[in-house]
Amino acid sequence: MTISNIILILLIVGVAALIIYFHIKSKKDAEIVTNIDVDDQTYTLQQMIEFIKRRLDEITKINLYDIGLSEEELVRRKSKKYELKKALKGCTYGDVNDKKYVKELIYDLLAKEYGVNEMNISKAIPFDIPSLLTAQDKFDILIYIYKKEFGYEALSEMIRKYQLDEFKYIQGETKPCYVITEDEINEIYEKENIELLFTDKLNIVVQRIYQQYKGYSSIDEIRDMNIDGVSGRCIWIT
Amino acid sequence: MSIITFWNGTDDEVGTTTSSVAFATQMAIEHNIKVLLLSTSLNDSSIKDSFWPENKKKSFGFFADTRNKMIENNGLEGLERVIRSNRITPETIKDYTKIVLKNRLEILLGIDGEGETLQKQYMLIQETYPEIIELADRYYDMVIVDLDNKIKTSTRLEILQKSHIIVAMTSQRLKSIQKIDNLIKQNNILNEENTIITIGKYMDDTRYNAKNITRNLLKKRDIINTIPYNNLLFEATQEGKIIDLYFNFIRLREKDENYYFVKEIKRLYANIKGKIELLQMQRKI
Repeated sequence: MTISNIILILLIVGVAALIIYFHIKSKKDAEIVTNIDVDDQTYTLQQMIEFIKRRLDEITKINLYDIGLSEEELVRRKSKKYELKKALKGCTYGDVNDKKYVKELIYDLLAKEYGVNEMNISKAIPFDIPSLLTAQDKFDILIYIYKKEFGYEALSEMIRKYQLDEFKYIQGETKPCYVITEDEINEIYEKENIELLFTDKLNIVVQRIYQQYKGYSSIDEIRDMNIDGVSGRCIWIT
Repeated sequence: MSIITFWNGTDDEVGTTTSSVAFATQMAIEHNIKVLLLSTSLNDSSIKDSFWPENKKKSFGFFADTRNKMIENNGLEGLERVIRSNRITPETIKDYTKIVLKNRLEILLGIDGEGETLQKQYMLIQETYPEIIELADRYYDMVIVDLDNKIKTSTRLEILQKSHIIVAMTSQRLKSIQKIDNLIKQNNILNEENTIITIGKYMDDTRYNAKNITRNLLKKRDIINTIPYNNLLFEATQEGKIIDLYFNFIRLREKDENYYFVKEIKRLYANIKGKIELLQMQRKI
């Protein structure tokens, strides 16, 4: 065996090793989110939404043929993947059960994969400092608590209890109208004196993420209530 | 089409899980039926370890597993999500089980993990067990439940009430057997029609053997059921080789010392079958 033969063999072996290395590395990198880098922004709503989007995308787009499953396992995994895809599609049309399923999945993803806990959940919504809560935060908390007790009658119950369906004058308007103002929400929130458990807080965050990602934004929860309907209009400002 | 629950009615260690594993495996191998073994435990890997050897995770170098903890999509944890969203059907359950023998034996594993959140989740999942068992019964020919005594009393009672047959496991201690027998006589949770007292980890070479216990303590004609202690079974449950063991057991002759174990499980099945047929005749199931 000449020197050139040995060099050639080493070269071929080296190239083969490199190809295998990069092949395995690319597969590893492609598979699921690796470590989550924790910084100040990690547990903000925006970052959480990004994470959920990415993870749900990965779960629904994973190539099952690559995992090397048995025939029966493959059929079952396909069925579960199809189930999730169906739920993700169905929830955009307002299906309550699909919405519930997607929300449960988001809940588990945040609690078990993203590491949301009692300490960091307030970075998404400042539950511990009421003065920092926006009117929407407060309304989300209130509707969650009422929904726990009254189910789909939550909104009606809240309106009835605080007589929010009265004709009233608001600043800058000449005619009275039916309206629920920010001040009223703040007042109700103060009166209710709500104490939340971690699971409640996470459920509220999950709802917020869901309504921004898949749901109907701020009217998402209201839409599900036992009400005649929701109507909206666009005001074009030129 | 039958729910058989293995329940330890005493405070002794009687090998309830191992007995349910052995029974389920023998049923799946000997009879052409679809069996589901359902674990109701928290952080108990006995069933998993009996069928699959533990995977040693690569913890260093290029092949190290760098993935974070992923959410569980299998077992009760995955299934619970489906239940919470009211999407469960009898056919859905099979998607969350682990296959041991295709179209014969499947396992719905319990919950594994650590932390307070998991404890809370376990408490929530417990509530869904009766529903899961009832739905699984519509899909599988036999649902075998390994009932953990850690689950709360109301749920435990509900599962026992839903079971067609209760295999009440006890140790060989006379007081334990007496306790179960008294429970049956009270006719409250257990009753003669659907309960089979079975001695777990049974040893025959003692004065307190099945024959004497039946004759002197229970004062009955049919000899009490037993699941004898078996060394090979114990080893197989540690090494994840229970299926291999049972394929060897098929070839056993009467002279073999392990034959008694297989024979006793066959006798248990015969008794269960007899009781089920009787219940069906009485139109109670």
